[in-house]
Parts: sequence; structure tokens; C-alpha cells
Amino acid sequence: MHASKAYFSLTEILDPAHHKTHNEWHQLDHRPENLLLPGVAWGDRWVRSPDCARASSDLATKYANVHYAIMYWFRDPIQPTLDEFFMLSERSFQWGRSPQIGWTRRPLRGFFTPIKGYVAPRIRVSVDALPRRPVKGIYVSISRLKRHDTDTEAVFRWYDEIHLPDLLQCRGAAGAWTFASDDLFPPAWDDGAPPAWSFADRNSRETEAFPLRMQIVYLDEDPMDFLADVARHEPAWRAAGRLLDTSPVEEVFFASPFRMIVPWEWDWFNDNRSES
Amino acid sequence: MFAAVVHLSLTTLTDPTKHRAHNAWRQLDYDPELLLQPGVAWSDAWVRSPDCVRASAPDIESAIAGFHYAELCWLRAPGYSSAQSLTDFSECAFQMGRRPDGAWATQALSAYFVPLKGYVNARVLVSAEALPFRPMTGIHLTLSRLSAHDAAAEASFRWHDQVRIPRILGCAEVAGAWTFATRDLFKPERDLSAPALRLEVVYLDGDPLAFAAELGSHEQAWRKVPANPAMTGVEERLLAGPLRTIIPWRWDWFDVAGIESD
Repeated sequence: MHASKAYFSLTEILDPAHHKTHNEWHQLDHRPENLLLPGVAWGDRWVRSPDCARASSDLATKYANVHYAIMYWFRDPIQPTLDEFFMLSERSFQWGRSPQIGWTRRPLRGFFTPIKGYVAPRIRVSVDALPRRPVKGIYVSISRLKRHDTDTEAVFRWYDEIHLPDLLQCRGAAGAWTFASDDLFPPAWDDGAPPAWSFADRNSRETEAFPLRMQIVYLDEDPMDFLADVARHEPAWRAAGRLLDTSPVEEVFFASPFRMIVPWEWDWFNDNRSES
Repeated sequence: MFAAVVHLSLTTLTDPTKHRAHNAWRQLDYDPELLLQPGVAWSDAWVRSPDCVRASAPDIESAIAGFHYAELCWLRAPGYSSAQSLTDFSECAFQMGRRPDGAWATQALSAYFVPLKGYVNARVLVSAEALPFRPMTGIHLTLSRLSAHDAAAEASFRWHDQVRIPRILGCAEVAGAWTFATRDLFKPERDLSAPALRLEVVYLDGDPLAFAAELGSHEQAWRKVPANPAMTGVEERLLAGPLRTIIPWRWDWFDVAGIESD
């Protein structure tokens, strides 16, 4: 696998006048420096534009104002990789190149272990190459796992054998990846090394009582067309017994489409504020 | 240094109806797998759209004249094994039936270069090494041939480093630049009497055509500078001009008269 861990966060811009500066900072300054780190296999960011926000479902209030999702994939060995990742974060602050701290909030951030990648039959790239393939958007769903038992395993089997293959038949679905929060993957043994995460991440872990499960569908057509096609298929899936109530084992608290971010085309929120 | 060597290819499409197919193949199939190769640090491609051609100096070499795309792939150390994996990857793609470009494209140039020095405009905060990873609106590419490996050539490189590029960095649209020399000069068995290629890539975050115009006015003035190697005959300019960034699915530069290529 091209990466053994991934970092994912949801970002809210507290001051709507800062969408342009936020995108300038991340896309033209911070991401290039991150991609240069040898342990960073890939990094991407997507916008939850107003139409995507309207198309969200299963949304807990805490995440209602999320504007962006960001993801980095990390290569082994993970400890020096994360050391470099967090060192860049602090260096950026010390360089005076972390202006985002004045206008952002991250209601969710954490480390995940990639579970399995999928590609639609029409797509020829490998699952490892999928995150590097351009997208028009993604569809993200995140849940809290209530249990870790045979029922949960059966739900994961349903996702793997039935639901994700069904989603990949829908318009624009190029592929998908599933992830589980890395709390579920403890070190094989205690070698005395400190945990490989930052103070900021430790704080977010302490507020998250349940391990998380995340699913990302990669889209090469308009995200709204994908959602409409999913809705069109659902009656047939239900009639065929291909839908499952997963609520006994998981609480889906975030499900939303996001759009690709084209450099310098950062105008999704211009209608609601003074900045252009 | 994150990359020991780069590979530059200039591609010409022999079938003008295949530009969309070419970009769909390269951007949605070939490049995602290429970026996955352990030796590949970064890869990018740009289009020489018709307006870029009009803003370019006339191509001197018939072999590279009229190319449509430039691809630059940065390869990690050790350079040889990374270059070998690049070659192997290309053949594997062919063996998997994932090189349809053979039917419509030819390579006008395929060459390895050694990165020499990176430069960034003071307003651009990233390091020189991060510059290739930074989004851009396009590049300005200059390919030259040096006829000698002597004191005059060394003086011309100094002029590039101390005069030309600092002035280029002062232009409004410029984020930074990188210079490269052919890998042939870094081989133990090198032939210093052979002509050698030199590459300059200027990274742009404004209108590539506006930069080309501004650079043109500078070059008019530099013609009067005795140290300018273009005036001493040390350096022969093979191509010089702007290229545009390729945004996924916006592959319409060569659509003609309302008819899209496939």
C-alpha cells in the first residue's frame, strides 16, 4: 500500500472574509511544503460549497458549518514521517506562515488507517493511484462505531460486498476508500516511544469517545449528479434487500459532498460576504 | 535536494482530434500511476495552446517545432534507479494496454536533466524546492544549446544567475524559476566537445502571455548588454515560450469551429 496512515480534518472558516486568504495560504504555501516532505505520499483538500452543504445529510450540529476537508496520506516509517509533518506545522508558525489559526476551527481531526480501496470497473488506475487521480468532487461519510463485535463485522462485510460495489455503479463514482481511526490499531508492543501524534491531535482524541469509521467516494462527475443517481437507485436496492440499517452498530454523524478546488477559483462563498 | 534528476518530454499530437483523449488518458490514467512510483517525487504537464504558440519565439529545431505538451518529471535519488523505474513503468503501461497515445502522439524530445538551482520571488513564501509543488497558471520554458564548455559558457551561466533570473523574478507574474543542465554533462564518460542542452523553467502565477510580453521587452533591452550570452554566440536558443497549466476536464484549447475533438 502506498500509505499506512492518513490524516483527515474538517475545517470551518470563522470569518467569512477569509476564504480567499485561507485558500491562498493552504494551496500556495502550506500544501507545497507538505508535499515536499519525503513521508507525505499525497495531500488534497476539497470545498463544501453552499450547494454541497445543502446536499448534506446525517449532519450533527457541530459540523453544520464545515467548509473544507483536508487529507494527507503518510508513508512508513510513520514515526519520522509524523515528526516531519508536525515539525513543519510548528516551523510554519515560527516563520509567521500560519495565519489560518486566526480564522479556522477544526471540529474534527484525526489519524486513520486506510482499510481498503475500490475502483469502478470503468476506471483503470489501481486503488493506490486513485487518490492521485483528479476528481470533480468526493462524498465523505463518517460514523462513530458503537460496538466492535460480530454485528459490526457483518456491517463492514455489507459495505465491502454490497453497498460500496452498488455505489460504484452510480454516475461519476470512480472509486472509494474506507478508513478506521487509528485508535483501533494499537502498537504491536510498547517500545517506549512516545505516541506519534501532536498535542492538538491528542486533544481531539480525548473529546472523541468512540472510534471512527470513514468512507470517501471519489467522483469524476458533478457530486450532485452522483447523489441524484444514488437516490434513483435506492428503491431498487431496497426492493432487492441490498440496503441495511447500520444504526445498531454505528452513528453516521457527517455525510456530505465536497467539490474539487481549482487554484485561484475560490469564489464559492462570495455571495455571502464582502470579500471577493 | 529532493530530486537528483528530471525527465523532460515534449509531445506532439499527430492527430488533431485526439487532444481531449490524450489529456483524459494522461491526466486520469497515466499520471496518477506515475505519481505512485517510489522514485517519482513530482510530475507536471503543461499545454502549448495556440495563444502560447503565438506568444513564443519561432522554434528553431525542426525536431521539436510545433510540440503541444511539455511534461517534467522530478526523480528522487538514486537517479539511475528512479529513471529505470520510469522507463519500466512506461513499458508496463504499454503491456497493460494503457498507452493509447502511441496512435496519436510522438515525442519531440525525451531527455534527462540535472537540476541546478531554484529561485523564488520574494513575495512567494515557499522554499525553492517546494516551488514545483505549488500550483501555477503556467510556465515559461526556454531550451538552449551551448556549443562549448569553456570560460565563455561559465560566464553566460553567471549572467543567467546574477542578471537574467533576478530580473525575471521582478516580473509581476513570476513565482520562481529552476535551471537544469543535460545529464550528459554529469556522466564520467562525458564529451565536453559535444553541444549541451540547458533548460530554464519559470513558474508563473499570473497570465503566461503577459509574462512573455514583459520578458520580451526585457530581452530587447538585454540585446544591448555585451555579457548577454545570446549575443556572444555561446548559447543558441532552441525554443522559448509560455505554456499553460492543464486543469482537469478543461481540454478545449484545440477545439476548432465548435467541433470538439474526442
